[in-house]
Amino acid sequence: MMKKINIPFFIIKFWFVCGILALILPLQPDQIELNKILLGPNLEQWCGYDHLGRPICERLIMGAKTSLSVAIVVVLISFIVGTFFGVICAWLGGIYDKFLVAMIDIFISFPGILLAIVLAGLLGPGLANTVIALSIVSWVGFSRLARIQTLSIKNRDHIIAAHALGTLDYVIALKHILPLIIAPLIIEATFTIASVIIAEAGLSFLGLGIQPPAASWGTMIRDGTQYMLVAPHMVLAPGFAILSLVLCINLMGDDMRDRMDIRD
Amino acid sequence: MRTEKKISQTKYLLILYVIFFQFFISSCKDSNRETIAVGLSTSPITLDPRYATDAISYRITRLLYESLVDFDEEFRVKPQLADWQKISPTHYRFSLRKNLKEFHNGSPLTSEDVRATYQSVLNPEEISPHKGSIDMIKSIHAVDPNTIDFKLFYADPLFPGRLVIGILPKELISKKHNFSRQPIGNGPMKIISFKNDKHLKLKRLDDNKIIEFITLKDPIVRVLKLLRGEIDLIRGNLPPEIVSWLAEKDSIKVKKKKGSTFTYLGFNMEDPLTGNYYIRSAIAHAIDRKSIIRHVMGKSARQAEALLPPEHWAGNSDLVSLDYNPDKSRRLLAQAGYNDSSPLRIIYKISNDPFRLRLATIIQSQLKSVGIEVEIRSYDWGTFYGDIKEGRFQMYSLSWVGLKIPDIFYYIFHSKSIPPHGANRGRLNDYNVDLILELAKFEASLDKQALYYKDLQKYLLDILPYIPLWYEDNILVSKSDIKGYKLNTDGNFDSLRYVTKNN
Repeated sequence: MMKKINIPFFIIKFWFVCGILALILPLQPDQIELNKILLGPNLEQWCGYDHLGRPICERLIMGAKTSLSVAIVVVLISFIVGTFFGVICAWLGGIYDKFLVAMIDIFISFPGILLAIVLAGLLGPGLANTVIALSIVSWVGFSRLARIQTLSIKNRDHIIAAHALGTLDYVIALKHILPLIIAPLIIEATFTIASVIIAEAGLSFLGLGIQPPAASWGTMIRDGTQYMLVAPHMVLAPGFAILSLVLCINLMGDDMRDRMDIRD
Repeated sequence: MRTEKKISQTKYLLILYVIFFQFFISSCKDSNRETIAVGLSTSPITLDPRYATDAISYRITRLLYESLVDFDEEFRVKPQLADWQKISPTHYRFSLRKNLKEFHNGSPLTSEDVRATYQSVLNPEEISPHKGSIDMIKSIHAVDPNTIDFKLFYADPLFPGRLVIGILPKELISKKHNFSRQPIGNGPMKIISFKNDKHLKLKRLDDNKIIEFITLKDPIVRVLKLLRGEIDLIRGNLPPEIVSWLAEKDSIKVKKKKGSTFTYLGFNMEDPLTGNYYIRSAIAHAIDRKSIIRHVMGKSARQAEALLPPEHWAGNSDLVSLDYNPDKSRRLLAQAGYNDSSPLRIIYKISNDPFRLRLATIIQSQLKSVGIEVEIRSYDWGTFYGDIKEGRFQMYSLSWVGLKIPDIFYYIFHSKSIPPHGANRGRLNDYNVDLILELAKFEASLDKQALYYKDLQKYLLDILPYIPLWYEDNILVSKSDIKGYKLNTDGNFDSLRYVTKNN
C-alpha cells in the first residue's frame, strides 16, 4: 500500500522543492544567448534552449514556482471563502440557503475555464488578476461540498445539544461542524490544485495569465507552439512538467480518498 | 462527482466527433487540385486600388488592375498602360498603348476611364489615402480616347511615378460599384469569388488557371497545409527556423531574394530622453545587428543604414555602418548622465506579432547589457498604430514596405509632415532636413534630386531620428512542382501571372 503512493508523492515533492529552490538558486531564466537559440537538449542543459536562447530547465523551475504559488493561493482563498459560505448558508437555511444554491447553480452551469477567460480578459493580464479570476471560479466546488455536508450533519444530536446549551453559532461551526466535514474538503482541495494548475497554464497559453518575460509553463508552451516542428523540446518539456504534476496530484487525491474512506 | 463523470463523457464524445469529422474532411479532400493555392498571413483589406494601403491588398490589386506606369528593379519609372511626354514642367501627356486588354466586364479601356479613376481619387468626398500623393494635379483632360493630359499646380519631376493606381472602368465608378469586393479591372487576373474574406479565387485570363489565396493566420498551420499539399506556396511571414527546416525537405523549395522592406527603431524627438542625441546614439551602438541577423533572422536580412536600399537610384551606397560598440555606447550614456547606478529607463512599444516580440526581447537584453533598462509594451495593431500616430511613445519599431518614390522622405521627416499631415511620427523638426527636402522637391533634374536624397540619408544617419536596422529578404517557400516563380525586390506577387504547376 505504501509503495503505491510513493512515486506520485515523490514527484510532487520534487516540483515543490523546485518551486522553493527557484527563490534561492541564482537562476538566470531570462538570460538571452543568441548563439544557443533553439538548441536541443544536451548534457549541459537537459532541456535545451528556447527561441530566445534561454535555458528551458531554469525556466521550468521558475515556472514551477509560478504554477504552485498560483495554485496554492487560489485554493487557499477558494477553500476559506467557499467553506465559509457553504457552512453559514446551510446552517442558517431558508432564504440564505436558497440564495447560495442559486449562485452555485449559476456558476456550475457556466463552463469554469470560459468564465476564467472572460474574467481574466476583463481584469487584464497579470499574476494578481489571474489569481482573482481563478478564485472566483474555484470557490463554488468547496461551497457546494461544505453545504451538503453541513446539511447532512446539521441535525445530529451533538449539534442539537450544543445549540441547546447556548453555544454561539460560530463556535458550533468551527468546533462541531468543520472537523466533521474537513476530510472531503481536503480531498476537494487536492483536485482543485490540479485543475487550477491546468487553468493557469491555459490562461497563460492564451496570453491572459502570467506576462512575459516571467516564466510560466503555459507561456512556455505558447512560445513553443510556433517552433513545434523544429524544436519539439520547447513544448515537450513544459508539457511533461504539467502532466507529471497534475497526474500525481490527482493520484494522490484518489489515494487519500481511499484511505479516508469517503464515499460520494 | 456525478457531474464530473458526465463532463468527461461529453469530452469523449466531442473527441470522437472531432476524429470522425477529421476523417470526413480528409476523405473529401481532392488530391488532384488543379488550382495554384497561395497561403497568406492576413487577408487583403480591400481589392479597390484607390484605397489599398496594406502590402497584401497592394500586391493582389496589381494582379487585378493595371496602372499607367510601373517600376523597374532599380525603382525607376517605366511605362505600363501608357507612354508619357513632358510638355512643360507642369503639363504631362500620357498616350495609351495600342491593343490594351479590355476590362473584365468587356468594355474597352479609354482615356475617360483614366480620368474618372484619378478624379474619383481626388474627389474631396471620397477619402482615398492616396490623395496626398497626387494632390498637385490641377486638372485632368481627356484629349481623345487614347490621350490624356495632366496639368499640375507646380513642377514635379517625380510626377509620372505617382500614377500607379490601377485604372477602373468609368461607368462602374459613377455607379459606385463595390470594387473592394467585386473588383473589375483589366489586369491579367479576374475575380471568381471572395468567400468570408478568407478565400479569394482569381482566374488567370491567359490560360484559365485558377489562383487561390487562402488566409491562414497561424504560421504553423500554413506550413502544415503546405506539407499536406493543401496550398502550393507561401510568401514570407514564417519564423526563419521553420524556413531552414522546410529547405531540407525534398518536396519543398525555398528561394530568397534581397528585399527592400525596411525595419527601424523610431524615436520621439520631443521626449526629453529620446530627444537627446547621446541617448539615441548610445542605443544605436548597443544593438548587435550582425548577430541578430545571423542567429535570429536566419541570415534572411541585410543590414540597413538608410531608408532606401543602396540599389535604389536615390539610395546611398557609401554610408558608414553604425557599428556594434558597447563601450562607446556606455561612454555616450555617461555623457548623457546615466550609469549603472542611475540607469536610463525607456519604454519600447511594439505590436503583438510574436516574431516582432521576439526581436524586441532580444534588443531589450542587448540594451540591458550596456545599462539601459527597456520596458517592452506590446499592443494589438490598432492600439499600437494609434499610439504611434499620436506620438505617444518613446521608442518603437516598425517596417516600411514597398518604398519607391524618394519623396517619401518628405512624408516621413519634414516638419510639416507631422500626423495627420504625413508620417513624421517622431516629430522631427530639423532645419537642415527641411531645407534639403525643399531643395530636392523643387529640383527639376532627377539626377540632382538623387544627390540631395543621398546627402539627406547621410545626414539622417548622423542625427538618428530612426535607427536603421535591416532590410528583410523576400522568401518563397513552395512545393517543388511549382515552376517559374521569380522573386523581386519589391516583394509583389507578379510572378503568379506566369507560374506553373506540374502534375
